[in-house]
Amino acid sequence: MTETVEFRPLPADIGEHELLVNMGPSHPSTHGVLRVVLRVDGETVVDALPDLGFLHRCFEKLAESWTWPQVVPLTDRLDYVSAMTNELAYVIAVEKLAGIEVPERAQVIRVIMAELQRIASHLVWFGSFANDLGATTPFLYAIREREHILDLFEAAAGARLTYSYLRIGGVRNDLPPGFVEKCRDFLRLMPKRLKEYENLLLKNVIFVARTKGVGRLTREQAIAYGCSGPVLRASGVDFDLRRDEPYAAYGRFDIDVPVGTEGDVYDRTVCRFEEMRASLKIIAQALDALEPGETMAKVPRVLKPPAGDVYSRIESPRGEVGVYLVSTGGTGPYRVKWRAPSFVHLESLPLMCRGHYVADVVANIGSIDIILGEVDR
Amino acid sequence: MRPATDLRSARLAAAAVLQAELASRVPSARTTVRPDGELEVRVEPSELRQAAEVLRTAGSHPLNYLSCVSGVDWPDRGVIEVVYTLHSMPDPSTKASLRSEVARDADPPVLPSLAEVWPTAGFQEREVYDLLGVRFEGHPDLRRILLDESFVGYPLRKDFVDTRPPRRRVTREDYQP
Repeated sequence: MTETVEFRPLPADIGEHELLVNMGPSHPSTHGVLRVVLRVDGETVVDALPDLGFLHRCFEKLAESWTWPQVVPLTDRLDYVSAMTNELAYVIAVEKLAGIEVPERAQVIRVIMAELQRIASHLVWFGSFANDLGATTPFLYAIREREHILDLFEAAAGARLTYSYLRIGGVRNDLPPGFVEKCRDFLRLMPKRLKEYENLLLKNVIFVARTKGVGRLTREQAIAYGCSGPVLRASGVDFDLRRDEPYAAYGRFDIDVPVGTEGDVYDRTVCRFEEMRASLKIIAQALDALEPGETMAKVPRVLKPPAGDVYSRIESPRGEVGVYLVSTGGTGPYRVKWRAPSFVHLESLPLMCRGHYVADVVANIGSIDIILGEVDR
Repeated sequence: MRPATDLRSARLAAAAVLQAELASRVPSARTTVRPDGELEVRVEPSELRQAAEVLRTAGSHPLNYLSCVSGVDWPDRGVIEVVYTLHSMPDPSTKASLRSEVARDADPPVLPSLAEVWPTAGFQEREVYDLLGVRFEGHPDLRRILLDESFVGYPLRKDFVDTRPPRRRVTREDYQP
């Protein structure tokens, strides 16, 4: 059976000098497969319509036919640049639903892993964002430092990208010997490198000219459009889930929250950049707070959380990752809904792009740090 | 930094205020407060919009931040439930979930869109429409979002059957250079 699909005709109100241009699905700056339909008048963007779904893998439908613990590796594949925080979001939601108390040591390990992952993810963003704007060098530097973190993850979990390290009720295994020392080495090294990056990119005149005043989101727009994480904070909203709605062991630590004022691409860049420094501070505190103990709670082999639903959210490198779970008392989830920050942020992309040049679309997409695996699920 | 117990008591207090407000302004609203302070609001589809307006503006920390829109199919009860999870921003002292149910056999199931109240509902309602087939009345641009425009059916419904023809597994012997 074949069906005919009618292509959407040109908008009726399209102006005489306006053009429709497809940016993507294969475009180096879309970091995957995002198509943005740009309506341009010369070099100026009149409207930008994101078209998603090229990487849809039926995560939510798949999860419904698997058991609760089986979904953990699936969540790794959503936001593959920060798999650890995705696992964290999911296991915390299941623990809330099933009423599982996680041992303190496991909670602190989770904080260490989540913050290392935040730095690793921000480094990937830093490199590729600079690359999009024409600065090739920072990518090579950023990837070099990310390697340290991946080595740490490999030692702890055995994998470098998709870890399945966090389990419902704790973590898979305790930290391997030497992990804490290597982690402290990294903490000593990183501030110097960050200083280097700052000089390399953030103080670059061309970079500043390309990002200042571009893609501005006001405070009201950011809240109304559900922005979260660095995008929200760059618009002047002082809100961080780690501090204001603490989960895992975050309530025990002192957390710096960098906040911007302008809400433009430059402020988003600076907010993300400063977050790496804040994360280093949290890791140092967490390493000091590590005490011997259990790393796994007593969880029944066949987990059956009581019937009910829960919405639980955590601060991922990209923003608020929310998990809405429905249980009917079975061995697997009845419904899993993944609230992905990149997906929500794409809705505000037209707001950022309108009235700016086509080249600024690249800067805007880079500044919201989208991961298509998470957008399309 | 605030202790978790503070957040819980703040949410319980805020929920009580909203409960009273809803009782006077939205007749069909049935509310319960969960132990963690989340206010659960169930309304008829006809009053969904009105309840949303109340939640958006009432109280000392109004629910101005829509976190999540999710749809759940309940074939036993014959309904699709749509859940709006709301928080206050930047002070997270209020949390609520606004729920409404629509008959799943209706052709099509219709709910009023809340994209005018919270603009971020735009994409998320499109997703619910795409995967569960709930039509949101008044939505500015209601199209499929994740799936292709040519897709038939709504895959997150429990009775969805994948009707694509089965494919044969290709083995090494099939390979003919």
